Amino acid sequence: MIDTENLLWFLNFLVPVLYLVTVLAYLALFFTEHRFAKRVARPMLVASVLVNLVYFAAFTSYFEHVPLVSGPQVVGGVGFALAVTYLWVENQTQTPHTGPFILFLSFLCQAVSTLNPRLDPYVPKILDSVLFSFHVSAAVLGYSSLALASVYGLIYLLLYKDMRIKHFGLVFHRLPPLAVLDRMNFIATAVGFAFITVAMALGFVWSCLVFKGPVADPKLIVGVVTWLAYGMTVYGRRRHSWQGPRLAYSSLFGFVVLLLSMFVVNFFFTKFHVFT
Amino acid sequence: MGLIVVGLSHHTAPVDLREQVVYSKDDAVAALKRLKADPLLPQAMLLSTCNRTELYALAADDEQAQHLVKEQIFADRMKAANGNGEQYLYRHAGDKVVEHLYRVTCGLDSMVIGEAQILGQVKDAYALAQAAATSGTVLHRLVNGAVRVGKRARTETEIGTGAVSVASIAVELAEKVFQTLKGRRALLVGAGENGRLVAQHLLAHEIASLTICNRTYARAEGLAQELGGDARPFEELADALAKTDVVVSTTGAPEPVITGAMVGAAMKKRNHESLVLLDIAVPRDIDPAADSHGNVFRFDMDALSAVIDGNFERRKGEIPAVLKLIEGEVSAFLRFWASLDAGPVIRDLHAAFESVRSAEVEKNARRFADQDRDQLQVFSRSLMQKLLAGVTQEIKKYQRTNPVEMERLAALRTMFGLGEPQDPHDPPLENGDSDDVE
Repeated sequence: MIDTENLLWFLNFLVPVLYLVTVLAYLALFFTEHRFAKRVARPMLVASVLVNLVYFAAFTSYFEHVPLVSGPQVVGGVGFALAVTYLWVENQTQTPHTGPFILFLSFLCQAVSTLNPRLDPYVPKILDSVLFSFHVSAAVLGYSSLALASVYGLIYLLLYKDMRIKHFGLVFHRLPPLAVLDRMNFIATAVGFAFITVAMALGFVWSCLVFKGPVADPKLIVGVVTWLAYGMTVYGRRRHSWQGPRLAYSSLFGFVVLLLSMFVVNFFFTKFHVFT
Repeated sequence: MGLIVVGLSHHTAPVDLREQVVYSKDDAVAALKRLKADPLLPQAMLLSTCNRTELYALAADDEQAQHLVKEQIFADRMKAANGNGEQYLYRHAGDKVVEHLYRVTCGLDSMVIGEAQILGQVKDAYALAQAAATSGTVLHRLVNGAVRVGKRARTETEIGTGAVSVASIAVELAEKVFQTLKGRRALLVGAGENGRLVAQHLLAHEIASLTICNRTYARAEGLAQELGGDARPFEELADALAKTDVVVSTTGAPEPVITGAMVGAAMKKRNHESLVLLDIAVPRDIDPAADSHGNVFRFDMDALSAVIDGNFERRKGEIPAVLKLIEGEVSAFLRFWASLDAGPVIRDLHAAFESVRSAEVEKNARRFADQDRDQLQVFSRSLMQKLLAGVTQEIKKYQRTNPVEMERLAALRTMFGLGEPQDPHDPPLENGDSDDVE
């Protein structure tokens, strides 16, 4: 008889290992287009996503709550959403060559989650609500989309730079056309913005219900600033046809600034937006 | 009886000689019919393109047949060459013929490695052989294998990927920016032949409009009429730049006709939307200062050459993979060839009958008492042997050296569904059962 808690520990470590192997397969495919890598990469990704799903299901069933309570667990959720989104993107674009970039980020998220494990049934009472679950889910999807947009921004700039300096190497041959990367960047940014909007609205309502009024939380302020910045990007694209490097820089730097702000806020204001 | 090929190509003969031995379709059919009159060459196919003229044949005697082919196909047309033209011709016989045709069909022997046109040309050559009634089982199987391996080379390897001409590279670069040229606007600056070629390529990719600017307006107008575009006076070039997505410049001007400032002004007007500038003129038509503006992608001949070189290298890297496919297909052909003899036909025919006999006996064994089943085996086997005895004796008389008898052997294989012998170590071919020539 397998002990469920031991199984959860095992899966917790297996998930990032599988993602790492997947990233290596996609890297091999990117650099060599070797047939073996071509055969193995996508099935490895599907296997990683399925095992990740099994881990989520087993965790939820055993501890009776979704593993999205602590910060690292949310980061893990972002990694999972990124991998699932990438599977869809690969189907749409019919090219596996953006895989190494997106899946590396997914692996990093999983690693952060695994190295900061929180395998216990305790859920702070104030977080135990349907509204809060929707808030977190929307935030996870929003941040995943923004992370995806930043990766598209990065690879757009790599190809853009190579084409401008007339360097026709691997990046030129492997990556999809600039128009595709630009479109994917915008879609991811717009979807991320929409989810963050929903997450903020739900968070606001939830905090009003729980704390009898809005919370003066630095993370919330960072969230609002981020939301405004991405809102401007979406507006700029819709109204002023922002495209190409401008959109790529804004989504890339937007996400970097978002991560740094979160880090600074977490480091200096540990008392806020921490309910566990 | 064996396969031969006699020919010349860009590897062995200069262009002035190659163009003398190019056969039109009608000439090819007439030449094949003349060859067929000689019993030395019961099956023949003439492959004639701008880079090669080759005659493939099933021949009763290799040396005599090669001599006949040289006289009837090449000699007259090579009269202008020094000597008798012998030094320009190559000859292969047996397995080498199969390997040579398969290399040709895969584009390994082409001037541009991996080019796809040759596949259609081989099919056309076979169609001419059919029209001249010089095709036969062996030639059919040979060409079928060639077409199959040619297709596999292009689908299973990257031998045919990546553009290798200026016009197609221009399209590839523009598509790397816009993904598709469908609905994009193009501007051709200059009305020369190179520009026309690129413009035709762009039009084939469904661009929305083509505008032509040339110093001599009448020439721009003439080309615009011919290609289906609009002409604009050269003085309106700056304005035209703002209203286009892809510019192809190919004038003979000694100084740049599109300056950095013109591009800057155009980018402002077009809200900094991406602009692809393809400068295929030497000296260059577009000032490199255009690069200082964001979202401008300027490519000159050096850049185009770099892409072409890179694509050539990638194609070269695929040669070992293609050779492996060829090796497998040559082996399959040789197994087929070996099966076209009395011995293998008799062996396979007996095996096929035995398989039917044993299956029927097994199916009906229960109808017989246990003590009668051995008798059933003996009876059915004896019946089979007697039915086959006459046929076997007749087949034993067939010689593969006789083209008519070889066709009969092939017909027997087809009639009794004997199929082709397979190498147990080879995986089955993906298109193994299909007739790729048809």
